[in-house]
Amino acid sequence: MLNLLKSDMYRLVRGKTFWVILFAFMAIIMISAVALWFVTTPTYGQMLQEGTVTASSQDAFSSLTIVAGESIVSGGLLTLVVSLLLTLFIVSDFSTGFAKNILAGRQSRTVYFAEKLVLIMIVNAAFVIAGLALLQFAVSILGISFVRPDTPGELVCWAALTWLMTCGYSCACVCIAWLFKSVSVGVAAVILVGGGIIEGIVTMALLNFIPASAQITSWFPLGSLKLLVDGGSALLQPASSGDGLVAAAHICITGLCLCILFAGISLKVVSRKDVC
Amino acid sequence: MNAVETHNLTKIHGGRPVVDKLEMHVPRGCMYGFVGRNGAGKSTTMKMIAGLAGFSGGEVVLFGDREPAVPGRIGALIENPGLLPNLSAFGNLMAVALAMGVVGAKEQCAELLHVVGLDDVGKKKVEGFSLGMKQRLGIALALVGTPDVLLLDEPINGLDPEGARAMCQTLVRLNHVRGITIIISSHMLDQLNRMVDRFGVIANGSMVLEFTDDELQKACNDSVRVKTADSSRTLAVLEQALPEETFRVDPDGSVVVSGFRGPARIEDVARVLHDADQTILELSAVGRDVEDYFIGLMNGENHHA
Repeated sequence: MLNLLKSDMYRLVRGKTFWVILFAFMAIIMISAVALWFVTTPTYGQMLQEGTVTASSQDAFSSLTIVAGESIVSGGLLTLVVSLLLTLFIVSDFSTGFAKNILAGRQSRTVYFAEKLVLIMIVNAAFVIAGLALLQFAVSILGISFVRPDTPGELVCWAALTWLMTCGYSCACVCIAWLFKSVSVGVAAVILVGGGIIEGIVTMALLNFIPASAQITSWFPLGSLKLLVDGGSALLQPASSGDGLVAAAHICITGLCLCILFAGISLKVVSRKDVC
Repeated sequence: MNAVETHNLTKIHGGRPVVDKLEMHVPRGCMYGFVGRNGAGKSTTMKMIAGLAGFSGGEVVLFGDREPAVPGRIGALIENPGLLPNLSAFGNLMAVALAMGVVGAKEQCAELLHVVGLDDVGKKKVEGFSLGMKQRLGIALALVGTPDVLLLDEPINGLDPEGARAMCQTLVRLNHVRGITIIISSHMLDQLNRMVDRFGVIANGSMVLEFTDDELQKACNDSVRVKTADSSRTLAVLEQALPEETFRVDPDGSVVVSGFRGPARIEDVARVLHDADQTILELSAVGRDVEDYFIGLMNGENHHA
């Protein structure tokens, strides 16, 4: 498995896709930080007085995790970006036929697919850490201070839960792309699943037709992403779903279920399909 | 020991057997030509041997081992080379070598580029490669990890005559110098006939016949044409002396004797006619067209049966 990981890392850093997506992700984070800084400037105050803009939520200045939640987790930016990168990279093995070179000679397919799941974990961890580090760097440079900075425990816990959720979304998108062995289906899955569009539609439909389904929809992954937007300090408070669990436990259960479900499908169903 | 054997190998797709109880025997170190019409089941068989496709029944035995413990003994180029267009030729080889845990990956990749004649373009991105270059790189990829068996599905297709000849020379060299067992499928029977030393003919998913190159030559030289001053008398003498053979008189008066198993039997015809005091004007072994022979087999005729 280590050899397969080495090979994937070799390909990843030599491909354009990784750098383009990483650069776009970093650019969005920088733009978010600059927008945050703009709110602290006298120009913005003057615009407020003139009524050109309306006051933004002061929560945005509370902590790094809240800023990160607002800028990269809310709206599915992180899940969308990482899932897109991973889906394009992993499915290219099948769209180009490269997987035949790896799997010919009766190599274990389970090891191959398990390695891809490990790769999903590594890349997601790298993006979460890089996102937080860049955001911290940007706010420090721009002189933004937080009202209630995160404790190290809150920061680590928030990062770990964010990682778990993004891993779940990436596993789902890659698994769907694997089932169809198609880049187009993979990209569609990233937009519809990774972007939370399908979940949003299903949630709306359920709540409209069956109001009592709120208990169910709160367990959708999108609900957990919303909990992450509240930042690290809110993780030990009861989840808004009213299930009696603290937010961290709620997110952890949702994320684990998502990961286990799609990793299981990948290892049990996808790995048995013919390679070409 | 056979490098590859299949026993009752079966693949059912859409309720129909694509490969049907296939029996294949590929001796170690041989170059095996796998011949069949489009859709006969060649590629599916190769995929199953390579482990790229599962099978519905039967088994694949590699070097006498039903459950190969050492992966990587097979390299394959099936249907089209699986290349990453955004990487260079060297990068593609390195990606596979790293995945297989090859020791001295860089050196082996450089050597393989040399073996397939791509050392000059090793740093160029694959997306700009011609079909021939892609095929050659595909073979280099199949050779990563120094496999014992190479499965090549139509590697000469789409190549110009010069490219096809270079490819054939490379394959023969790999077989002779490195001792790699090569299973190669191709519709270019002429090229195949010059390279391989054993054939397997598949039709409708089943193996029709396996035979050596020598057996092919004998099977194709299965007639003797004789012309004498008196064709009626010649026919009568031969029919009496060689009752197991079949005879035909051509419009020019030549008698064609069929059913012989080798060119040595031409002496039998000569002896019989000499003993009968027949004056032989012309005597020759008639070669049968190899392509006709294969087409006959692919149509389900078993000439050796």
